[in-house]
Amino acid sequence: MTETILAGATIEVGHHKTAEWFGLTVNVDTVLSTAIAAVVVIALAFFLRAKVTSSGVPTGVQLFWEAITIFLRDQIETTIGMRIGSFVLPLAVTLFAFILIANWLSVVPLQYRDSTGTHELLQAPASDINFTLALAAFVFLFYHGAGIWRRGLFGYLRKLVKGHIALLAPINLIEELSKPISLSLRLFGNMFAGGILVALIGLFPWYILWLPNAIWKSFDLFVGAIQAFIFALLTILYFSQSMELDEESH
Amino acid sequence: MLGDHSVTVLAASEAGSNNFLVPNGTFFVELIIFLIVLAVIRIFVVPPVLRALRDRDAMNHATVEDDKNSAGVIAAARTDYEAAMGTARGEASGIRDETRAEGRKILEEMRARASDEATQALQQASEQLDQQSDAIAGNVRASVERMSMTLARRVLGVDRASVSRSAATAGRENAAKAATKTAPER
Repeated sequence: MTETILAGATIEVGHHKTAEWFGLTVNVDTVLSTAIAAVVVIALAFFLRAKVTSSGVPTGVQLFWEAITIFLRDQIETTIGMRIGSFVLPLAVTLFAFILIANWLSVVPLQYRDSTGTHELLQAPASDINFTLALAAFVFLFYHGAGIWRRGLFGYLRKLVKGHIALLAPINLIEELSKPISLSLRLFGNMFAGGILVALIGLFPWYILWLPNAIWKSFDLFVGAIQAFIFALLTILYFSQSMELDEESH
Repeated sequence: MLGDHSVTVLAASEAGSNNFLVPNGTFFVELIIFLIVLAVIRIFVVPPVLRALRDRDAMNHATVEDDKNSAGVIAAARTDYEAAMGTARGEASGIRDETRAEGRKILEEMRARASDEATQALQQASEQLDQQSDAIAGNVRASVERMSMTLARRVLGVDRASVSRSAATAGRENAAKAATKTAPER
């Protein structure tokens, strides 16, 4: 005697609530979670501004910002040099802090079910390609601009295409084009997969659900931090590549 | 039961809307939010943090400098102290030697004075003894004649006049004998 129980469930992937703003389709849920992340980062920034101290005991918030700043400053110092690359520091700090907070939003355990399935109330903004692409495009334009500023338009373009050996020009071009794509898709893929996994775990019955959920969300914290770190680090590396000079004048 | 679980993954494109890998208007909204955050961090976070780090570095440097300076001061003070201790030690031993010499001198003086006094006292005592013995010898000598005469009269039973003549010679002999007897006692 075989009993067939058909437990069907639907996971919606990449589905967003949309609205039309100024004639553009906008994913409202992504904008909401991005705005929340931005508010958290800005609140931390203003808290630091109010409590910053150089002689007293620093607050936890100050230590958070200091740790990020020191680490990224040292990275910039070793790859570009703080004297010419100091303008990269605010960008790198922003990228790290903003992506970190945005990724960690998805760990907040808020889900709801409706007729279409289980949804995360707060999706990681990075699980929407718009978020990661906006960051990557900004970084892409910024580091090319910095390269042109450093070597002049034609000098920079020549260096960009030719690289060190003229033979490798096609490879250089492909590498250059792949930079923003890999930068955005890496972050997107990681956080998107995290969201899918949470949705899949959500299909477990409640008495099983908690264990894989706890394990995965802990790991997701780690993934979120690592991805934020990689994004900031690659940004610094791209800047150092675009700004390097062939002849070092000491 | 597990095998019958069927999960339908409904991607956005299948659901009828656009491919979710193609950006839409959200891109610009996200960019604006990011630029706002970037501006806030550029103005309110990085400069104060860098300033705090620089100030702390400066404080550390100042402290290290202070340490170095105070180490120099301590070394100089120790040198001074050792020099002062050296001279003080020299002075102390000089004073000690001086005092010892003085003490020896005083001791010798005192000893000399004491021995002088002792010889003086001895001399006085011996002079006194001499005088006393002379006086006593004179007394004894004066009374010897009479006592020997009295003794002889009593032994012999004769009268006084006859004895006194012969006794005069005998008394002189006895006195001479007594004088030779006392001489070695001196």
